[in-house]
Amino acid sequence: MLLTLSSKVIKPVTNLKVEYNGQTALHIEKLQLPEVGLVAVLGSNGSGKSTLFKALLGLLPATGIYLLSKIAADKSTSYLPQNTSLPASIPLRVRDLLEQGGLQKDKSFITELGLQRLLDKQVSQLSGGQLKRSLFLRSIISQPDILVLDEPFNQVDKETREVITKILLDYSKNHLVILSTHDWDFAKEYADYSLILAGKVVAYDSTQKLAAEKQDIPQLAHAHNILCEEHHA
Amino acid sequence: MLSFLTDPLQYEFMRLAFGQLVLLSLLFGLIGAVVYLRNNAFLVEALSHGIFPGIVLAFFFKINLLWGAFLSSIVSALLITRLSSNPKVNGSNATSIIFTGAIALGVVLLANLPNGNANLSNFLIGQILGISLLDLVYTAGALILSAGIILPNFKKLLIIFTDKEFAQSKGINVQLWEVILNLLTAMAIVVGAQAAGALLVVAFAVIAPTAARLLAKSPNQLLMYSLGYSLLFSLIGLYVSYYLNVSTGSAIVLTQIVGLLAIAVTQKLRNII
Repeated sequence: MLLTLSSKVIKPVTNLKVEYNGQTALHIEKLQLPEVGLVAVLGSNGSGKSTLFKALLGLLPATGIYLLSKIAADKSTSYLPQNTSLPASIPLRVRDLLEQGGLQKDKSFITELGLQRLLDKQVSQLSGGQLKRSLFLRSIISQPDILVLDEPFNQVDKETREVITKILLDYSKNHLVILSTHDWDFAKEYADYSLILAGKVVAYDSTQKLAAEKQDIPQLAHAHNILCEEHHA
Repeated sequence: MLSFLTDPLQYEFMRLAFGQLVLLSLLFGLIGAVVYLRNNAFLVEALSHGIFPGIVLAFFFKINLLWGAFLSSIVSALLITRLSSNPKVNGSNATSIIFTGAIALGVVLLANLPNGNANLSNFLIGQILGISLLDLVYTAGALILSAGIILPNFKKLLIIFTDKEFAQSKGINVQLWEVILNLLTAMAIVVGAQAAGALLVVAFAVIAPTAARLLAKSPNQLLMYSLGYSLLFSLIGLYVSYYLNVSTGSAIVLTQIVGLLAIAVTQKLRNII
């Protein structure tokens, strides 16, 4: 199903290779991203999820055809990095942070995320969940065509997780959302497509199909990862 | 009261010092705010000490001391960047190595110079009452260039300071901007060293922005307060040095520290009450 959906606007990632210290950390021969929908990228630590995202966004050196700014040249992109600590030296209010996201096309997100009363609060005084919601909002407020989220649910409270999930489900009806997670249950329930990584593409298809065909997805990713590490050692 | 302020300005050297300090404090209010937001006061320290061998060599080869200082500070900044890119050497170690090395090298070179020179020691210790109109022009140039580059791009720079990866994902050329900011910082330090001395220039770049941070609630406020305090402290310091007959650079630094303490104490009291 996925392959028939292959878009004319987004070209496939082709022969993407990322090396750390002379060793291949990630090698993707071909990956066709859909134009809209929610893509969950799964895999254990070190499987290359963050590496893939950073490569797509041009944050690390790599070879091949892979940059979102090239393969989806006429689409806007935004990114939520995994690391969410901000320097304390900067006196930053939530509204200053949101301003960094660019043109604020849809202010309803502010209310939805429960941030309307926090706009003048210093970022350094936010709780972990509030900070995550603010950073999430910064990445989505300009309504990018492609939204890349690295582990958006890592260390967040249940409430934050639920409200972000709800927004993403709605948003991915008309935009492409790519997020990484350890949580296969989340992918099974919400993701249109799932990509299992372990230094390379282990499996990639509509989540429905993957769930029906492969019963052992978490183990699958993990097993490949161990093989990769052994190979590297 | 007014004559208390205007009396010193009847002298040419005081008018020049006054003008130089207005320009310098605006320059350092601006560059200092950027340094603060980038959280790299250590760079200022390295750059300011790194100018020493350059000045001595420039003096020896009879080229403009400002250029010698500028090139030397850039070389030391590059060396520090290179050293600290090794994961086994952290940033503050790299800084210490290079700036102590620079001072030692400067001293050795200096000892081999035929006859010491007043201009040279001015540059190291700072002698704002002895500056010329040309120095003023250099500072004005540095201020115009820095303000012209930083102010229109301040929002963009803030994204870099907040979150480099996010900035890069927005298509901002983070590395290029880091180089530009390092060069502007080096330039400010070189013209600042003329007035405050290589040793005290660090205070110019660090104290006013730190005081500003105590009160600022947004990045724009930090910039505004930093400019304001820098100007205020410098001019108070100038008058203090005139009436107490002490070194101007030192008087300004002490004024800055007293000012910082006063703001910190006021803040504390306000929080208690």
